[in-house]
Amino acid sequence: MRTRDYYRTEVVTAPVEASAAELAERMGEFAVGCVVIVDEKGNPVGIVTDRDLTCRVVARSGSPDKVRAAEIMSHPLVTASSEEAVEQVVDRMRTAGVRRVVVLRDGRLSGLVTVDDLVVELGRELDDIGEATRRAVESGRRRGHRERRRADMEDTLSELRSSVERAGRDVADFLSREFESLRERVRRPSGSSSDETAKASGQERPKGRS
Amino acid sequence: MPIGDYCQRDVHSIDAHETLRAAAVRMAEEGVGSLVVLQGRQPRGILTDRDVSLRVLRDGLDPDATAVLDVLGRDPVMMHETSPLRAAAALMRRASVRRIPIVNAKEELVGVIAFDDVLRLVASELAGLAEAVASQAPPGRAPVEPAAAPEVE
Repeated sequence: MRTRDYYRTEVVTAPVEASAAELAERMGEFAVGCVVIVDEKGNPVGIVTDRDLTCRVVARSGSPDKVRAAEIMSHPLVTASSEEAVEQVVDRMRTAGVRRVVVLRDGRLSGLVTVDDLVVELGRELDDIGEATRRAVESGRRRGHRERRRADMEDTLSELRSSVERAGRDVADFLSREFESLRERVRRPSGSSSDETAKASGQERPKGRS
Repeated sequence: MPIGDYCQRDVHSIDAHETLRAAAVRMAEEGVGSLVVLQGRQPRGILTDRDVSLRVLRDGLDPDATAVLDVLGRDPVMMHETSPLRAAAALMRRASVRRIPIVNAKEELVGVIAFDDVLRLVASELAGLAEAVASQAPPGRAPVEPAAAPEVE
């Protein structure tokens, strides 16, 4: 992770002779919490935050119109190179106790890395990770659902198969019993049957014929 | 996780009738970026260093003649101490604030939850998760027992 992927290049600047009121005006207008102070050549020389204005201007009595950026700015600047690893910059923020680091390219002001921007950027990445995880879990659940349905179907099929087999056995039993009794009837000599009908019919038959 | 268990109980506050100058002095002396504005024991809102600098230097309010209550919004954002912690981040997002006063059933101030506190809690949870992930070696990298040398017939 390089710093160049995490910093903003639109930086609000003001000259060293800007008044405290002008700095506050810029902070309000551009909705930023700091203004980078530059010298006449445009090189960054210091930084003033909204907090600096409160603690170094409003907290002191006297006319704020007479206070210039040069008197209240924090300097020397904590800086980073755009090619530096962002972890290194975060480390520098921690040791210097600052939330904003000015990014230089070839010694010129190139942008600003802020803790807030980093949190937003990391938050976006986390959001992506969260979304990816949610989708993975969902597709796993769907897969699980498909597997469950297949298992259900297999269960039903095997139940069906065994009931078909059972039914087949019953039919086979019935048929074999039928065949058996049919064979019995065919094999049985006439008249000797215990069957009343057969007996009756046998009795009706003239014995001398066979 | 009720928010009352996580908020900072040591709160820097200022009376609603104090001036913006007094608030700026307190912020500078106490090394804080915001103060809970109190009327009695009930919070009326939060005053930040940004509020002070912009209202005085940009808008030209007289810091010695303006009461802190006069620069606060009408609808203070607050949370009850029994609210869940996760609701804090959602409320911060909705109300675009970074600090929320936490109150008890009588709406008296008991603490403050700041964006930084929530961020730290989330970060430590994430670090725990990251460790859990790291401790589960991916299948491809699972330590494999060295295969026994094939026996020669």
